[in-house]
Amino acid sequence: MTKREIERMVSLADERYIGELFEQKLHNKNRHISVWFVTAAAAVALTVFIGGMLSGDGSERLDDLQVITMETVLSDFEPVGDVFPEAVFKENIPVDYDENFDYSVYFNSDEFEQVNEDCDFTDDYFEFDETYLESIIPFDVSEFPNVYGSVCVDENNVPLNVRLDFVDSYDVKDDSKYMNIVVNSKCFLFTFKGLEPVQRMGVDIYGCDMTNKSEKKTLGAYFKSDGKYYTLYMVNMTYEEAIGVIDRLILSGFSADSFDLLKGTECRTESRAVTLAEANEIEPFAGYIPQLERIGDMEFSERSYTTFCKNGEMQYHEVLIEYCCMENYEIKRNINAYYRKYNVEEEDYNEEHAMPLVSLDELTRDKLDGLARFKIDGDMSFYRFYISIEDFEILVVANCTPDELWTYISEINECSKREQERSRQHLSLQSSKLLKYPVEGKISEPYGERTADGAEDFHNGIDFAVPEGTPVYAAADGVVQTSMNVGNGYEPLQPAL
Amino acid sequence: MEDSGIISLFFERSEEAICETKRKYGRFVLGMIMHILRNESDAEECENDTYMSVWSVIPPQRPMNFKAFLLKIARNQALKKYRFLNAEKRNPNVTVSLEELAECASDEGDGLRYGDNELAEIINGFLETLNDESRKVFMLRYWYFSSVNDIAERCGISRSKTESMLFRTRKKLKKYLEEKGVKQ
Repeated sequence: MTKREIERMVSLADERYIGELFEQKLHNKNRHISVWFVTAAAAVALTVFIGGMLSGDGSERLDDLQVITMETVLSDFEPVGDVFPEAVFKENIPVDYDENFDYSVYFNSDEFEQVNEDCDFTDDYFEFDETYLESIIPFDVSEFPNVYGSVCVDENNVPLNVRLDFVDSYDVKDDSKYMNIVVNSKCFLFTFKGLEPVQRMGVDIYGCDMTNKSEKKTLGAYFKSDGKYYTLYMVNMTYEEAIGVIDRLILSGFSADSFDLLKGTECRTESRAVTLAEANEIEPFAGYIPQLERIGDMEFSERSYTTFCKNGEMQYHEVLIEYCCMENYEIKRNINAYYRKYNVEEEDYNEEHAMPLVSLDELTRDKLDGLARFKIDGDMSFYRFYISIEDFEILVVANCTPDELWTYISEINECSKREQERSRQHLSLQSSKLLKYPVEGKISEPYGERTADGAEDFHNGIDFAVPEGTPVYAAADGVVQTSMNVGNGYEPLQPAL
Repeated sequence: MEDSGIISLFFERSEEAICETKRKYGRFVLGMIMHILRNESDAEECENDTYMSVWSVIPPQRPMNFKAFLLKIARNQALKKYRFLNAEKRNPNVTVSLEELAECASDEGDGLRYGDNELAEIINGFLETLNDESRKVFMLRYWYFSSVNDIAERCGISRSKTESMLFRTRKKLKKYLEEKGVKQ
């Protein structure tokens, strides 16, 4: 076979192999806890997940964490030899669950179910019954408050590793800002089957597509300081912004004061307000946005991630919608709606479906009460319920009372009518970017370089030769901005475009 | 807009089709082309050629995977343009990729004796035998013309692993071609 044939041959590769090149996968599997940093002005999310113990003069609660020492753990946590004969106990290991596992289970010290309810991310992982979990976790987690853990297992339910995080959290609040910092005092990892965790030194940002550094994503960073490990999650940031955040942390020397720096961070990402047409370009939702018109004035930001479950990959796409542009509405509120789309079989998220679900059209004030679940988080109360639009499930989380929320929803419905009308107009204006010829006739002078009287010139238009009196039509939909007589008729309407 | 919607627009000969295509896939197409041409104005021109070419083949064609179809056309257009441009500003990624690939050639000369159908059958049969990772690396290198560094970063593997993977895959391809009893 000749060179040329081989070249030609490669270019004939099947479309399915081309398609798989552009599947975006976000390594974001070890999400134990998500924490929101929200400002009222913009749907800004900065998740801080700190692994390792904070040094410096932290609050009392931080000091308390030191009660859990390695000795305590070693004496109380006895790996069950029968279950895990090859178990290796490791201390303070940041883990990158990059590969070699099929799915994972998250649990905490209180109740397995509670994790299932309270933590958004864990719902779909929940595949085991409690007895099974007890049998694979080599100690009684209920003895340890504030333990969060995860188990990675392969397809035959053989555990690959167990990770434990001893965490405590506190809220930082200041007027409109809200940040919950999770302090992870210890992280332990049991590995099985000779699987070695990845040690990361220095700072390592992951989750970003280096070919597109300006893309906003959920990024994570691991770093080590004074023998302690830190994990920082940054939601919806570009690579550069994330670097900025980390620089600030490094400059501050990773003390508890670091968080003061983050509190007023300028590195946050502001969600941009979009029109429906623009929202339509947000990749996973392309084509679906028109169904969301009823949301009304809104700001979008977007996140997506991939997790793994028994039957393969599960992709979440979330659009964070904030609407705060309500006319005459003084208090701006955050209502975040998460849109999820799954590409797995239905039985994989039966748990999810156990939540009551109604469509927005059917939603009434009474039903809202039935759907709602209140969650108190510090002084902030979050109100959440699931609704559906076509095959999207929407989790609405809002920091307001049900009555207030209902007011918003009514406004949304009203707003959507207005918005629909407006977006229709907008879309029709946008509809044709290609200009049509304004007249039918012969082109006497095309666009481009030309020689006029021997001199080189660039012709910035197209000239049509038509008989006088030929009607000239607009080349595209538009709105007349100005129209004036410049002494030669209505100049802008001359056929020279 | 759904791909099927865009395709129907092409069938209706609506210029909207091109707008929609550009809106949805413009950055992928331009990305593909920029990869090969490395020059914005050439790339833009080439992007337009791509849409033009799509316009002229749909109908009658009705692609199953519109995105891949589009990228294929973009790739061909970009390569055509690339060959047309002078040799001095060659993009080493493309040149080197093509040279590497040429190692698998068993015949001298520059002839084309196989039909597209035969060639497609051979390459797809070969790709089928690879595992997901090496197939992706192979395609990124020889189809998408990525640099080894880019591939390593994208796939989260080391540079040397990428290189050796490519090397092994090329060897495999050569062997595969021999086994297939390629016409002498």
